[in-house]
Amino acid sequence: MIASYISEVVLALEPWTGRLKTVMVTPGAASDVITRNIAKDYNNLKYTFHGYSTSTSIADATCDAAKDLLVKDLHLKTAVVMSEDAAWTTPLDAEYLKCLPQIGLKVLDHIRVSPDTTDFTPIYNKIEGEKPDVMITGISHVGVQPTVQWKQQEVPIPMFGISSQATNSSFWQDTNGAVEGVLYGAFSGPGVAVTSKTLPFVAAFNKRYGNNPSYCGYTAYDEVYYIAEAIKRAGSTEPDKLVDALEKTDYVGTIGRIQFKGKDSPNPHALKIGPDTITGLMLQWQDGKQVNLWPANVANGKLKFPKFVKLGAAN
Amino acid sequence: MLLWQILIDGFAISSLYALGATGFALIFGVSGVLNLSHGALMVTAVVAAWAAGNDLHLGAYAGAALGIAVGFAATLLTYFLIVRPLQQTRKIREEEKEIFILTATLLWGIMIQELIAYLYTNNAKTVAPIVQGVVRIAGVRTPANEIFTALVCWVVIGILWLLVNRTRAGKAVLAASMNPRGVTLLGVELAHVYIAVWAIYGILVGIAGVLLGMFLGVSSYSVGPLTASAFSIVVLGGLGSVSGALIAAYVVGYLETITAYLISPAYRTIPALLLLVAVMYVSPRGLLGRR
Repeated sequence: MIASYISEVVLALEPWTGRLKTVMVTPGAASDVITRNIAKDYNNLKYTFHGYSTSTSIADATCDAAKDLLVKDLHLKTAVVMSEDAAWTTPLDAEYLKCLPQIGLKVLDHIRVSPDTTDFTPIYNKIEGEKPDVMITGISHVGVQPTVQWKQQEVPIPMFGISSQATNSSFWQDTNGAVEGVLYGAFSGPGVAVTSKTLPFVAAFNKRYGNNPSYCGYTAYDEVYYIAEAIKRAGSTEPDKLVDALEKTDYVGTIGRIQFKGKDSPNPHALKIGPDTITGLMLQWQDGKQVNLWPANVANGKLKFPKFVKLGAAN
Repeated sequence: MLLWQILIDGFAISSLYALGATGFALIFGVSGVLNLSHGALMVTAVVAAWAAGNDLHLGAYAGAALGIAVGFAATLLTYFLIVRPLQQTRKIREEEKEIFILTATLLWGIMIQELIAYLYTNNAKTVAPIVQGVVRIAGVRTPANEIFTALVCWVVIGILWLLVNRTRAGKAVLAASMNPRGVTLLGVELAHVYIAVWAIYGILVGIAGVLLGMFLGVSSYSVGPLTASAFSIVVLGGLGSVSGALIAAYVVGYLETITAYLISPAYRTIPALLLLVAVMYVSPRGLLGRR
């Protein structure tokens, strides 16, 4: 079963994978708790696999990108973390608060916004009053409204971090172009040849659906292939045999080389993250296109902000 | 600075609430219908205006016009398809009709919500604003669109006031809201009054929806909260009283804004709901209610 990109949903399904002995791979949920649960009750929950990066790894990738793009290149010094209040952002924020000071960005405030928020004006006013150089985001359930209001109110602080909806190619239309200049982390993106499979997949997806895949489009696509491969290796769809085979996955997909962490890791069945397996990207919306800026070896553009963003104006 | 911010933002949001709730109060006042598909009709207008820009590639003005037209059409459809057949049927006893209409409009709203989610996903939609950029008012950087929203709301409410108080047809509507039987005795066809009121309501819903789409944006999930907010404003103001609804819109709008700025945006709607409960307890008719 390939299921859900919402951590709350995957966490609710997880016990059922044990009860029904059904293998489940999530293409998009991020909470670290999914794999921490497997560590606590391996025999029962080993049927769950985390086919997407954990929140902690996502935060680390964001910090790595921020170190190069914001601290080294732009000499930014301070940040406010703004995340939506959801299961996936709890470990994300904890890691942000740890890794941002380590790369040289002092965290001035940590704001968690309700996913029901419709008017972000008071939040942006508060953040602006604190005069940070950058807003580090963790948003997924919300997306259109904070982005459109950021542009409409001409909030002079750049947005950088995780903005899942910005990975959709339709997000430009959804926001009437307000997303211009927003930076978002991902593990793949249009025009970025992460592996030899990435660009042919994007082209075929575009031909079939008329737009580019969102972040879980890439992972779900890979999952179909490595699950099929595991079934072949196991010679069976019997759940325990399939789990054994999936644990031995070593598959080059559209997001990189896919391997799962072992039984003894604190996060069993989480994707291995690193230069040999999967590394993050940092993209920016520029003139209606998603342009990759980081890491330098796969970058296809340079940082560019709309006029109302005043870099370091707060200092 | 903070005071100015609260005053400006509160005014814009309250004006929008006022426009949204005016139509809702009007149809209750005149025809006794509590339309629980109110939020769905507003969201329909927003999604139509959004689709006009994205799918049909129309400009901001044409998109807004199409959104208003679709909001208007959806409102009249609601009346002719859902409300009127229930009002006219002999199969339901008169005293039970209100609850049937309440349930039917609620279900109709859910159907619209699901249809929008099916066709256009649950993602939030925003309408391309007609005016862009920001202006400074007392040092507060305010989107020009926010001022435009408040201005249009008040122009429309002003036109409605003139229509109701200064024209013969408008006076008939006003009279119908006070004493429907009396109006019938004067030779006014009540059915015509109802259609006129629903048509006015349709235009108000369309305009309020499109402005909301430009100002904050909505998704199919907004259907419930939008109906709830119009409902609480109208109950707080006094069921059926348009001027009560106007006052209540400002009370709720400012209470929400003050809470969002001074306490937390997460608790935005709570104080207004507590106030509603308190008003119901002390004065169930609301601020200016007649019923």
